[in-house]
Amino acid sequence: MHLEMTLQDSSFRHRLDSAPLNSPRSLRLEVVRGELFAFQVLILGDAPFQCTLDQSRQIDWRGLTERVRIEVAGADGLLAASFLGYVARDDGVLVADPILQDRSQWIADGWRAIWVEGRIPADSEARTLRAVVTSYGANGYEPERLLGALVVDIDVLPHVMRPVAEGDFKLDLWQHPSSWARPYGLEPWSDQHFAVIDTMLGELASLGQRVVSLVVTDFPWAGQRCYQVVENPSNLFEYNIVGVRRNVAGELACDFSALDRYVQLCFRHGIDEEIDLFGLVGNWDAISFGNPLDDYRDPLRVACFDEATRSWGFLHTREELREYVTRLFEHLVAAGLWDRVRVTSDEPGNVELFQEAEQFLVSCAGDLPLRLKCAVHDQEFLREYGTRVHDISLNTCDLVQDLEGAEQLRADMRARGGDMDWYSCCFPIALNIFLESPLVESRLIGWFTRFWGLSGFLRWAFAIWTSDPLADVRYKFPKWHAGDMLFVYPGADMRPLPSIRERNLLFGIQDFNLLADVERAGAGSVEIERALGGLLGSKKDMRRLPERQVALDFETDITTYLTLRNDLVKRYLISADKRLEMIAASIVSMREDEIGGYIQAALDEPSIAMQDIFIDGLQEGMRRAIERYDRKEYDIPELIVCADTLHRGLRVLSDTGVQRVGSRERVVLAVVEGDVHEVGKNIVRIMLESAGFDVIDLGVNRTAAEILEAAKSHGADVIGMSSMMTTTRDHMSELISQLDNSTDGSRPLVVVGGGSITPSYADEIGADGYAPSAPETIRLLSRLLQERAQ
Amino acid sequence: MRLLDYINGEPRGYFLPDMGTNGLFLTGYTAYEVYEDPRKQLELARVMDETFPADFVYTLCDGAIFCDTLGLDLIRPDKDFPSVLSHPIKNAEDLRQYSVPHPHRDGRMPLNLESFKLISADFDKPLFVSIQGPFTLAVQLVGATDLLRAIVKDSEFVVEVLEFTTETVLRYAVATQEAGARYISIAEPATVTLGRERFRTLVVPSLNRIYDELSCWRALHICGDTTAFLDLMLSCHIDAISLDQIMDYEKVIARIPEHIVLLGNLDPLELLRNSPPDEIRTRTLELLDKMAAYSNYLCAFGCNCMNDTPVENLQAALSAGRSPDATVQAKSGRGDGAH
Repeated sequence: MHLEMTLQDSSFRHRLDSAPLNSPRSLRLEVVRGELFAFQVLILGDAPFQCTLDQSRQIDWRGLTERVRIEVAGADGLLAASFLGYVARDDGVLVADPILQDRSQWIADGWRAIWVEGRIPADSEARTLRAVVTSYGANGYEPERLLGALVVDIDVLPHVMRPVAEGDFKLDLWQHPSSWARPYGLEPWSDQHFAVIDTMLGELASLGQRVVSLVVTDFPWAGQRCYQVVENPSNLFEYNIVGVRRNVAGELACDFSALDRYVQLCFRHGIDEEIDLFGLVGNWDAISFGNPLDDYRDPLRVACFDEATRSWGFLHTREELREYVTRLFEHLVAAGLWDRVRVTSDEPGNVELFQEAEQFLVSCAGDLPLRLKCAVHDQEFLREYGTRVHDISLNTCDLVQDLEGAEQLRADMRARGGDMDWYSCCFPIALNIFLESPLVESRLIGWFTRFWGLSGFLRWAFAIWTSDPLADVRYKFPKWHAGDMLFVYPGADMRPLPSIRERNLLFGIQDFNLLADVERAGAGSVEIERALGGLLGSKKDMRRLPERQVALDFETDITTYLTLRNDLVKRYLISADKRLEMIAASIVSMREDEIGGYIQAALDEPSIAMQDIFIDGLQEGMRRAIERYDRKEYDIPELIVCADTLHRGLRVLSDTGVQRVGSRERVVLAVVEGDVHEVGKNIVRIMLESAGFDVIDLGVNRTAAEILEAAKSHGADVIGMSSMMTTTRDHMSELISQLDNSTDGSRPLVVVGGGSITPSYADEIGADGYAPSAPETIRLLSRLLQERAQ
Repeated sequence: MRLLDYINGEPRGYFLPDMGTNGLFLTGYTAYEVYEDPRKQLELARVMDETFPADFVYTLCDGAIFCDTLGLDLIRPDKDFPSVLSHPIKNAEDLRQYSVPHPHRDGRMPLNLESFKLISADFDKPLFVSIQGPFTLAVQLVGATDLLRAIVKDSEFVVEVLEFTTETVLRYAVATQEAGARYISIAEPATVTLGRERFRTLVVPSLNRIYDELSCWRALHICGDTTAFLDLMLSCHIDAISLDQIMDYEKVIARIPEHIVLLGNLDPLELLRNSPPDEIRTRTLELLDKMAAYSNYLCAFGCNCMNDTPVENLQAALSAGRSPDATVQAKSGRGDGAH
């Protein structure tokens, strides 16, 4: 069978019903050490087939049918490949999202996407890595045959990225542990449930999560009214993590064991910066779902088991509630956690009610400082209460409505020890994480966070699932959009299945942290802001639109962002010796467009001598390129483009008026008159330049007179000539005879080569040497020049 | 009849000489006088057959036929093959200025076809024609360095050029076969600049597209060290393969399937041009001896011989290679051995 394969970057989202618009067979990535990165492989067979990954030898239930195996090799074994699953957008179109664990899939027709990701170890010395994606085909008992291969070159910048857990980005994804228990039918707060919680927290920690979510009453999001959505239902009820009982003596007893266990697990995963209590203020929907409290307007629901009657009920009075909340606060104080606690409200809209609740909670806290945190999308609430809460998170709409005001608000909050971040939810459509959103927007969350001068991002759900999310995550459309509720899917092994949206969010967080490092290393915030504005759009053009939408006009090609990011990294985070290294690496990895920037960075560094740029940068780069050629990792095409990159670098130096200091042997190269075979001569030129010779390449079909004239005017130490044809080679002899007649004994050395030349012919015509190959030419010239010097 | 059967038809060695422009020195004609006159091609073929009797007949090799027809600037030496002087196609837009030549209409192609008809009708021996391959033609059109550079930087352009050159070669090869050629060898010397994977993706499919349209004996010739992708060359749909003199044929023959004939690989320069006839005879017989166990071996040069190779040298190689005595000695082990 025939298999088409192509590569895409990590911001590409495949629609199952479509073919990729372009089909590159190679890809070049530039990453820093410690960075998680990814690319995608798209495949299309011309017949139904079973596809396996890596060295899986699974067969399909259909038997030994057409089979394709995709193996990702190279890159020091750092890469792992996974199939992507397809889930429906709200318009029914299936798009790639979950990163699956399956190693085998049956593919009946159409393109399929494979996600390949890896992380360069922080201690890696690699500068460039090459991954090869190879496809093998088989049918029946025939041995596998090679179908095709794709190449991904990974350039590694010599800067170590901090782990996201240590980065500047504050990620706050709300946790809904009751929802995590449901796909597996687990009793809330059981050991099995905590096993699932452990894996979910591990996944969150891998994103750099900083905030612990504790749901401390029952059903605080009852206002989402999941009970009204019958089709593809989702159970959105969260249970109180505190066990509340009334003993036979009528005293309230709280079991904080699950809360403590949850907090400890979070801390063990490094999620320990802040603890948000949900369900104590600003709960929704007292009207439809009701409020068990008789004398308290905020609908707080606390289920309570009465041991006297052996029955479940709810707290009914303000005083019962005060008793419970006080116990809760006291426990958190006793555990030494109070400084991190925020009493959090999700989009409060009723200022009067909120004020009432605040007073109640303050009274429960007694002398303790009560820190309130709100996710806000209500302008009235923001005006009336914005300055009174400790921390605030603004919806995108409210943020862009008044970016300057938000900047001032944040400054005020920080002065009081609080902070401000931003969030998106079921609105606005732009810059969101929906399945219908351009995937790059998940990554740009980190970029906009930096651009807006904020410290982090909040989202109301990390994982809330419909009844079978791998089949359908659509829920409450058009109010909610598919993807709004989740970044990860429930895996069959009780571990979360990541999504490509989640991964792109992480990539954006990495970008944010790198930009913070760049700023810390001396880049002016104005410089960074201006650069970001060029991609993300002018702040003054960002505005709120009716119907909870925003107007943003930003670049969607991720490569432009990465070019900017990596340019800043090279300029500010790579030390002097590493700047030379980058010049060398740019030659090896054929980055013609970038070598000028590296050279400029080296020129800007006072501790780098010009000679170092030539020797440790340019010459070293070509030396390594030739090493790769010798090891058969590169072919001649790569060698040519490496040399092009070298020449670009030399031109940059020449344009800036830099001349190479020190003397170098000068070689005039040409193919003789009547002959136009250039490849061999060009390879000799590349090798000579990489060995430090100064080469004047006259090209092909050059008369003896032209070569002599050039040798004279350039003061050549060596003339190199090649000929592939016996009818043209006598021009070599002609040149040598003229040279002998016209010089005074210090004539240039003459070396010859090419398909029609033999050592005996070279002797016969009086050449100083003959070389059968390009590497031999270097050795020959070195020997001849040394002999002459002696 | 299969090529394999033809070269085992009589109890002697068979020889396919890949001559240079040696015939021009024997006839006194210039290359273009011969190219442009089918009767002179016939005359040259007769002279060559008389002077260098072999088991195949041939015209004066015309490796520049495509570039000449497409109007490229050529150097046209009197006594040597023409060479392309400039390479005008640098991008897809340039390529679109050119049309695939029609073999019965465009340039000198009809003259060549007429020459093939005349010669194939005049001889009982099979007519051998060597044609430039699609990748090598692409190198001529774009320039070697620019094409190799484009492989890294503009692979879509490379694919477009190869589609053009493949179609060009394909049409001419089919017409050549129709004109009487019984053995068509495609020469792809420029592919030696490629690595294995690129040979597999850029060269093999184009060649097979051409071979699949031919029913005559189909051969592939590549100069230089082809060790790295010999198996890929053998995956082409060919009846014969011919390799450079630098290849060790004792090792190579073991890798060649029984149904594919291996040609070669007497050294055209050091041996044929620069050695005395006795030495040539001895070395030719030595090679035959090494190949004696293999019925799929055909004696030939490693590449075009040099145009100033002495006549007696070439005659020494041919007579040794086809000598019944030598053949008896050489073929004594045939049928036993490694197969």
